[in-house]
Amino acid sequence: MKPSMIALAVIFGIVLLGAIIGICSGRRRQMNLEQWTVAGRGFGVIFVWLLMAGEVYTTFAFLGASGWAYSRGGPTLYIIAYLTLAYVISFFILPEIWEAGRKFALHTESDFFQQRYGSKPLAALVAIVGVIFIVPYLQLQLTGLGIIVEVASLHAISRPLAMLIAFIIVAGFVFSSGIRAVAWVSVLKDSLMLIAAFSIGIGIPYHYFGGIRPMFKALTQAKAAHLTMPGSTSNLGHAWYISTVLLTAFGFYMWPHAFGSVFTAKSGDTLRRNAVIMPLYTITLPLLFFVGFTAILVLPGLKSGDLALLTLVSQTFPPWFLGVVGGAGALTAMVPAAILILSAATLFAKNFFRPVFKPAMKDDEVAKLAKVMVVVITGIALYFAIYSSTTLVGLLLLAYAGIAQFFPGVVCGLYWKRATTAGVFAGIVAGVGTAMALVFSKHDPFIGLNAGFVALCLNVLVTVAASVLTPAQQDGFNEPGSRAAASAVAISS
Amino acid sequence: MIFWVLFSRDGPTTVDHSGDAAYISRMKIPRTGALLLALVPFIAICFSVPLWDRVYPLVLGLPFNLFWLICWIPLTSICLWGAYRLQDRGSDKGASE
Repeated sequence: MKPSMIALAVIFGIVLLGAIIGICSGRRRQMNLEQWTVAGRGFGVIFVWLLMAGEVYTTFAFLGASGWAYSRGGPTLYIIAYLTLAYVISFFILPEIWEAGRKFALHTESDFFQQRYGSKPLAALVAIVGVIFIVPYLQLQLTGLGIIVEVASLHAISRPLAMLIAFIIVAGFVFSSGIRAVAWVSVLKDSLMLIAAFSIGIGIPYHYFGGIRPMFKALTQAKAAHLTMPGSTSNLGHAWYISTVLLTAFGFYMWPHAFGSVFTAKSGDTLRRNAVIMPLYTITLPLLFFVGFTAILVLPGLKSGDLALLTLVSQTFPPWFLGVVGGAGALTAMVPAAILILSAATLFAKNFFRPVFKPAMKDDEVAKLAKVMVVVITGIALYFAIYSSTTLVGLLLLAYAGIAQFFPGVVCGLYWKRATTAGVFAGIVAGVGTAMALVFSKHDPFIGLNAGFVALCLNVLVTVAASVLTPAQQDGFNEPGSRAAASAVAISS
Repeated sequence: MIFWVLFSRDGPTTVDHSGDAAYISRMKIPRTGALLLALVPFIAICFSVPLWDRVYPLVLGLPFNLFWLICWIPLTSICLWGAYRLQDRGSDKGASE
C-alpha cells in the first residue's frame, strides 16, 4: 500500500467513525440546535470538560494558529490573549443575556434584538448580517479540510478537488447525522485533538532539536525578530495587537451559534462559573505554536504557512500517524462547520426570510427552506474557498470585523435604557460598511489599527449619537415576560 | 479551584429571584470590585504589550512574551474567581436585606 493510501484510509476511517457515532447517538438523545455547545447541561463533568476544551479547537487553532506562527511570528500571540479575554467579558454579559432569554423565551440573537428594540427590520438585519459573516468562517473550515486531504494524499489530490470532497463530506455529515449528534461526535473530536496536540506539540520539537528549550534557543539565534511583534510582517505591531485583541474578544460571543448556546444554560450562575474556568482551556494552544515555530527552521519557504503543521507531521511521523492527526483535524473542521451551516440556514429561514418575505410560512416550510439553504450556503463558502487565497487567520479576522459589530447593540441593550432602534440600526450599518470598505480596499490595518476595530469605534459613536438624537423608546426587557415560558423553564431546571 | 467550579453545589445566586424586580435591577450593574478585577487581565495581556513583548530573558526555554501570556491564562482564571466571590457575597447581602 502506498503511504498516501494509508494516511487517507485512516482519515476516512476516523470520519466514518464520527458519522457512525453521530447517527447512533442522535437516536438516543434529544438535542436541539443550541444544546451541543458548552451550555448543554445534560452531560456529566467529564463531558462538559471535553466539550469546552473542544470549543477552542477549530481548524482555525489547529492549522491557522500554527500557520501564522510559521509565516507571521509574534503577532500570532493575539490568539492566546483574545480567547482568554473573551471569557472575562462573558463573565459579565452572558448571565444578563441568559436572564433576558429566560424571561422572554428567546432562542436566537435575532430574537434578542427583536425583544429589546421591538423592531422587525433590526432583527432581520441582525439575522442576515450574521449569516453573511458565517460564510467566511465556514470557508475557513472547508479550506482546512481541503488542506488536510491535499497534504495527506501527498499532493496527489489537488486543492480544489480536495475542497469539493470536503464540501460533500460536510454536507453529507449535516444531512445524515443532524445537529443532535454533534455533541457526541465532538467528544471523539476533542479526545483525538488533545492527543494530537500534545504528541506533535512536544514530539516535533523533540525530534528535530531534542526539546522545546533547544528549539527556541536555535530559533532565537537564527531569527529572534520573528518572535516579537511585528514579527515577519511590516504592519502588525503593538497597536494592531491591542485593537485586534479587543475586537475579537468583544466579538467572540456575538457569533449567532455561540450567542444561541447561552440560552440553554441551567442558570446565570452556571455561565458565570464557566467563565471562571474557561481561560484554562487556552493552555494547550501554545503547543500548536511550537509546531509552527519548529517548521520555520526545518521547512523554510513553504508556499503557505497553513501547510506547515501537516507537512511537518508527514515528514516526521509514519503515514498512519499523519492519518490520525489528519482525521482529528478533519473532525475539528467538520463539527464546527456543521454547527455553522445549521445555525446560518435556520437563521436565514426563520429570522430573515419568513418575517421579511412570507410571514404566513408554516414551520415545516421553514424547515424545508433551511435544508435548501444548507446546500446554498455551503456552496457559496466552497466557491470562495476555491477562488481566494487568504490565510486561515486572515479569514477569521475578516469574519470578526463583521460579527463584532453586534457588540454595541447587545451591550447597550443590556445596560443603557436610552439606546434606540434607529441608533443601533445605524451603528451596525456604519460598522459593517466601514469594516468591509477598509478590508476590501486593502486598508487593513488602518493607521496601524485593525480595520474592524476602527469600524467598531465608529459604530459606538453612531449608535450613541443617533440614539440621543431620536426620541426615547420602551425597553423591551422591561415588559412583563411571558409567564408560560418562565414556568416551563422552572420545571425543566 | 477547578474542583470548586465543577463540583460545588449551586450557591445562593441560583435562588429564584425572578419575581423580585429590585433584585434584578441590582444584578444589572456589575460590582465595582468585580469590574476592577476583570480589568487586571486586560491590562496585563492587552494594553501593556509594549512592556513585555520581547524575546529575552528566555524563561523555562520560552521567549518572554510567550511565557508571560501562558502565565496569565491561570492568573485570569484566578481574577475571575475573585470577581465571582465578590458578586456572590454582594448578592448574598442583597438577598438578606
